[in-house]
Amino acid sequence: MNDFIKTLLSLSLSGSIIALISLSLKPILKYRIPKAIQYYIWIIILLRLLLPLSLPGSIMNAVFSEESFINSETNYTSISETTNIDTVDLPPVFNSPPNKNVYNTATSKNSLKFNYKYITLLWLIGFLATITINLFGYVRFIRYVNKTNLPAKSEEVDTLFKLSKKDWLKLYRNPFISTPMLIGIVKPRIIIPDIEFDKEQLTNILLHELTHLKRFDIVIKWFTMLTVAIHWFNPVVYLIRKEIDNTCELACDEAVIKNLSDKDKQSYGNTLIYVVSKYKEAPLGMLQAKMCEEKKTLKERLTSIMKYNKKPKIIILLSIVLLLSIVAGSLALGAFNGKSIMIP
Amino acid sequence: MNNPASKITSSELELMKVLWDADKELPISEIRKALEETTDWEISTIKTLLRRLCNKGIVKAIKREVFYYKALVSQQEYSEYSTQNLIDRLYSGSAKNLIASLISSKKLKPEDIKELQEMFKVGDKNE
Repeated sequence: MNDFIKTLLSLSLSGSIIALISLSLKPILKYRIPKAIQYYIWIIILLRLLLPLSLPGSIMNAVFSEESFINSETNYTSISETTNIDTVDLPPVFNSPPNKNVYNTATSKNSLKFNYKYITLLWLIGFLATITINLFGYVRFIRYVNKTNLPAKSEEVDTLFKLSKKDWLKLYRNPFISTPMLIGIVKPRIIIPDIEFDKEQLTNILLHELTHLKRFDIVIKWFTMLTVAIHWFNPVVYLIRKEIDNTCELACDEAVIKNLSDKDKQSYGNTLIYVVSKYKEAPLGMLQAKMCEEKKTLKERLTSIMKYNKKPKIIILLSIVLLLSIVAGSLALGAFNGKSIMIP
Repeated sequence: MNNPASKITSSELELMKVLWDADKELPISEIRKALEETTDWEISTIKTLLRRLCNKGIVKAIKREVFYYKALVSQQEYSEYSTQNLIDRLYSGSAKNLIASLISSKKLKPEDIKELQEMFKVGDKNE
């Protein structure tokens, strides 16, 4: 197998394993450990999928190098035709009669080499297609929004400045969007729907968006998009993206309400409900099933706000231990980086 | 929230275009003449469409020597509505992945909103 595909598959596989483990722990941990830790776990998984970092002797290196070992060995036998293949320690699959095996592996290796070229090409097409679709949709959206933005009221701009202390951060109203949002990496700006907000609602909305800004959540979103593009063939990454998006919101809510009184928490959650209740006509062709899921997501956010409590030190400590073991597990699973043979 | 423009179907839109282009109320004979170029609709089809549009409050029938029809929703209102829809559709696509928004969910039914409002009570449990 060529090294590039090996690295890609090993990243995809080890990322998916960690992701599935985390998903299976979710029902137990969801309300027990801080959302921030849950968010960091997903960021580690993202890094696992992106970076071919690995400890020497990692599992993925072993799995994927064994095969290269086999390939090079069989290749060698096909050239020399003298080595007895049975002396090489191989998995049972390869324990067919040596003569036949030598011939078969030699031809299949050639045809595989041929195939890998096409597999790499196919991957590249999927990768570029995903990137293009995302960027195209994004640019089109930003253009429409920029074209239709209206200036925010001056008291709204004042409220934002009091909260953020950043005079470069712009605030706009837009009649064509339904939810407040933070857009742009280079020049972030906050855009709110062109509907009535009282000061309390506006403060809640701005606190949420400012928290996204402070935590570089948009950068994470771009990295997530890149990860999905790289692993477009792996169904698990779409699940991962959904989890990251959800956890990102939950962690953001948590950071906002952390220091609020019960009354202010109530007001914060009410603002979320208010924004949804002010939504205009639902886009055509929306599926009922999807609708149910939308409700579930919001319900989970509200429940998390209700259930939020200051975590005891022991929980924080255990969460950090969990986080570190996921880091260690990720490194132990590793990725194929082509160095395993050199490292004794 | 209940934008009448959302109720215009695509065949009704054809008819609305005639009224918008004319920019004045038209009798049915003139509507038919204009539609002859683009469609092969019978007069009965046009009558049905006009009746539906009247019922929806998008067109108003004014009685003179014959009935005259007047558009109550302007082309601009309609295009604003479609832009709204377009932006929502754009946003629900890939743009959503690269933007940090307050709410990711779409519109919910009024009874769902009510259910959430009733459920969401901070500090009800003993602390």
